[in-house]
Amino acid sequence: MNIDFTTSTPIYLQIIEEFKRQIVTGLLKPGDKVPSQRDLAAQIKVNANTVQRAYREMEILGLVETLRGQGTFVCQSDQIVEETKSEMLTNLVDEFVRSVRALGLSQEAIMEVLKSRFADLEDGDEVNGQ
Amino acid sequence: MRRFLQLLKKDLQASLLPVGFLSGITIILFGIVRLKMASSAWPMEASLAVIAIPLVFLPLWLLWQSFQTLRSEWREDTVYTLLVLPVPGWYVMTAKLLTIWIEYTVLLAVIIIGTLTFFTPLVRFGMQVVPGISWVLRNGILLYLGSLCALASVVIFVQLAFVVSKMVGRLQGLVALWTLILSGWLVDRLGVLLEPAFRWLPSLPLHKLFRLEELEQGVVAEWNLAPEIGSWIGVLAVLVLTSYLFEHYVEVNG
Amino acid sequence: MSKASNALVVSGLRKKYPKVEALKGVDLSLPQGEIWGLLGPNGSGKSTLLKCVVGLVNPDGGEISVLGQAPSRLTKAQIAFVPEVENLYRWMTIRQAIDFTATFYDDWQEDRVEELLGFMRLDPTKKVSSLSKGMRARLKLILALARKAPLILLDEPFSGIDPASRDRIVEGIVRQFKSEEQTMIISTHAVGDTEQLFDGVVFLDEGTINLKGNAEDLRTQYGRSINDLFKEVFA
Repeated sequence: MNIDFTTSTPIYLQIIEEFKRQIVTGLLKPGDKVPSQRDLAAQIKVNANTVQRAYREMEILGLVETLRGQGTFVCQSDQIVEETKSEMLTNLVDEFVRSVRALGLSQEAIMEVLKSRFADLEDGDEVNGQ
Repeated sequence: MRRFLQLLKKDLQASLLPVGFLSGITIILFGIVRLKMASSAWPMEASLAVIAIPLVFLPLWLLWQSFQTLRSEWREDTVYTLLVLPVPGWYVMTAKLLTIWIEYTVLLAVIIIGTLTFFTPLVRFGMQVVPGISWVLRNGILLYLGSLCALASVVIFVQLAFVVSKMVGRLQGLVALWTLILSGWLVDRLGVLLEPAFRWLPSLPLHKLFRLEELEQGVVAEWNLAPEIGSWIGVLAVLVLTSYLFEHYVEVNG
Repeated sequence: MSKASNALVVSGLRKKYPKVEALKGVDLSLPQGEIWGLLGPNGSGKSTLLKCVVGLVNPDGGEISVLGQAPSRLTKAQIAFVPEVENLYRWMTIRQAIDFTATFYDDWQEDRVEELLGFMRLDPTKKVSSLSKGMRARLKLILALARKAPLILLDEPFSGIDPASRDRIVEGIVRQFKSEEQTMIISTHAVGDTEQLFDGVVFLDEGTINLKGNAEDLRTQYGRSINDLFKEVFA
């Protein structure tokens, strides 16, 4: 796990975002054990209280669950993966739409470019996470 | 107790080097004098004068050391360690005092043993004019105990002067000097002031204590203790004051 | 917030040196269980504030409460203070420095020493005088972290040391800090990549606090990292 801490986003939110990214891309699968709070804190050199806050939020969101004496695990339900995926998609698309609108192009023109780009990228290189 | 001993151990370890160095110098000096005496290169008076150098130098060095042992804590920033320790101030002060006593004792022993081994004929000659070995031992021990007390009082005044100087931001040297003069004067006055209260004390017959009649018939030397008691109470008060100031008011250099 | 849940409460703290007024009335209360950054440029009064708390400097005015008590020998036993200066006896070996410190504190955890020495990559037989600045900084941190001290004060622990030592120290702090029973204050004039250590930050400028708060709240409120905020405030 790697996080760039120079941005203005609260660190606990960045940790949650990173977990979501790993869950939707399949790096973390339902039922997988995630690092203990102290281990993660040491690994990414972040205050343990901040990691604790991130884990607590993720439990409330239903992304992970902590079993006493056993550790923290990604939730078993596939539903949560789907929900997270659609939430992230919505966020990405919202961002995209906002940026593209600023260019003043019509929706049709944008859709046209979008389709052709999808086709190009599927033939060629893989779509990067970025 | 464990904590006090740890502080004492630290001060003793820190004094290993200077004490070892001075011991070495003394032995070398004695060795040179002995060679010169054997070859009759030096007149007897000159040899005796050189032999006396370590003994004359010793109190001066101890005086310097009582100041230096505190000064080095500030100079080397170790006072940051010392001042945050959860120990009473008198632990630090008396550990340093005890260290100086031990330094004195070790160096004195080196001088005595050195004299006995390097200048045996001279010692034998000296023994002829004194009443005997037991007389020398007895008086030697009494003088040693007396010198410990005298040394302690000097160290205690120096410690106060140094600690007070570290409570002010500037003119530390001047403040130290004035503290030394003023505290010395005050303790002396305290002795005079309390003298009436201790007049009931008999005088100490020094001629009996040191068995001086064995040296010279009919000699009388008495020590009036009454004015001394107050001064010694004063010296103890200075030690308590220094410890209190060290624990509560002294500062690291800003 | 009640007094009992604050590890440190400072009110109206003032300190004047002959040449400079280091603290001009500082008010601060830090909750237990958190790591706070005391941030400001050199000469802003950070070090003086920490020295007042541990009793190395006497304030000219104001009050200090360490875990509910005024500074005394008792509070000294509760504080682990790591000064910026080289406070260790140079003629000691690392082992001697550790044994010396251990004698004075009831909260010393001897069983942690070997682990910490290994983690900080220090050879206990080495003399303090032979260590590099970074190694000495790591040793000083070991002496603080080997204790279960309720209040840990680190004065400029990252100043002038190599990046590798800096990383070790940051990781050491994250690993060893027990938020259930400890509170930590770290003063620094270079926030850089250490800002993720802090629960809260205090900006100190020429003896006055000009910003304080929860680090995450400040990031949200000002829309920038603590480091950027620091640069802006002290530009």
